[in-house]
Amino acid sequence: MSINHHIADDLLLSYAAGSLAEGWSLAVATHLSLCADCRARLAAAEAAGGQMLETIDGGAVEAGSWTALRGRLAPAPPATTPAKASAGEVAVLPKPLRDYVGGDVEAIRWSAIGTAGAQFRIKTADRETQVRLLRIPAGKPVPEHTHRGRELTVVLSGAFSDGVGRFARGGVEDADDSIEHIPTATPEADCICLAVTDAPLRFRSLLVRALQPFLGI
Amino acid sequence: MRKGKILELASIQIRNARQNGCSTTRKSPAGDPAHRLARKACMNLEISTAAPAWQKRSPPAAALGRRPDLRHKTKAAMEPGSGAEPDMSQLLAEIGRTRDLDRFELLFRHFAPRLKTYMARTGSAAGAEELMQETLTTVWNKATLYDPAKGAASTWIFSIARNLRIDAYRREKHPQFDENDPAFQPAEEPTAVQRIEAEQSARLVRSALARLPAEQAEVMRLAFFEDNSQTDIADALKLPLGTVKSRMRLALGKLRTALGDAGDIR
Repeated sequence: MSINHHIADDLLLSYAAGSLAEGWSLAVATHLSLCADCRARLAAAEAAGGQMLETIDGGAVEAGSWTALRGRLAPAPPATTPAKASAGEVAVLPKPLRDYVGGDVEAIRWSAIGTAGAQFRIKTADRETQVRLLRIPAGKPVPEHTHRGRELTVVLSGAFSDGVGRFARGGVEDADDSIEHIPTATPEADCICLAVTDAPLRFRSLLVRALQPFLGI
Repeated sequence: MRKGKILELASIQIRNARQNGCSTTRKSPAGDPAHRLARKACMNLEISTAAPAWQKRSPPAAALGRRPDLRHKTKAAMEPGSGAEPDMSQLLAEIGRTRDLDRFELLFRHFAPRLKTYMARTGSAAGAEELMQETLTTVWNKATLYDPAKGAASTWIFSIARNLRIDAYRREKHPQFDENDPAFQPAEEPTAVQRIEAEQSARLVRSALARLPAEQAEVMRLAFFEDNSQTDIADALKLPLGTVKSRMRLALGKLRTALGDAGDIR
């Protein structure tokens, strides 16, 4: 199974740098779990981080720094038993998402939107993004769909298509507000996807806030 | 090209800092990203000018490459008869196997000053020493898991440092894939990066970084070493967000090409 739609290089670079907000990072990590090609591209970005670290001007460490560190090191490494996936075990949601949901798809507490669609909000610590899981009924368009700025959608099960293309498991749609699209789930099954958008702009001025709908911002 | 290029990069950096102006920024609101960036630029400027003549520094010190750092060299730090630092990737792999504290000290001498600067620049000077120590403690604890076939020691250590600083400074999570996840989709064939020796790929990345146009090198530095989001960078450089994104894409594209050319990439 190969994925046709990937994470853009600017997001991978910011993710590798550690300067990408948590919400976007969750979409990136979800896609990376499913896409070896993008993991290879990430490796190049992290190698750049490593080389930049090599060439940074080293400051002076405190006197006695090594002695202090040496004192905290245990001779043997702490026993780490990486939890290997047992054969036959399957999961719809990749691990980074399961950590937020608290389980796989059956743990998602959906709340209805529109006539048949559903969503589940995911809380992150950043103030920049809005993160949610969407369930689009088979053959139906996304029930409620307005966004400003960037929107990243990662398909987890089923598929959807719009004017841009067809997106199946692992595929990422990276849309900005210049793209008008009506994602519609393909008829075979409901489509579950992760959607990350820029958080709505908040204006300090009450006047601007009141005018927001008219200004179209 | 080396020396000329480095001079150009450094002078652009200083010019930017001057143009952004240490005095004018005081008028800006403190939360303004441009203000924060200009302040950092001014700090960089102080550092740059405090060093007697950055022209005299070996080129890598200005931006890219390997820097001979003799301050911390002890007799033990030298490989017998070679006079050069040991290969860090081999050294880290060896530490993973032998758990030898004396060997780990060599790694400490090399990375501790760099990690401390990294932590100070991306966050605050106050916590930098502690975060550096935490990073190296994690490196020691996880050294058995390091696989030089998957990348250079510097890359592996950078990732650990980055995760710790996100946790400490931003109090956000850094979601990551897990190879043991039942949903994880493994690669069908080894990727180009995996087929190249760690040190060779490090060298290729280093030279590709050195060849980046100044404006692409600048967004790399702002993202990796000053923890700026794409929006922060756009605000600070007074560029449209799309331009920042495209500079990042071009930069990563060049790094990938550099690795792909040597590795017969897909």
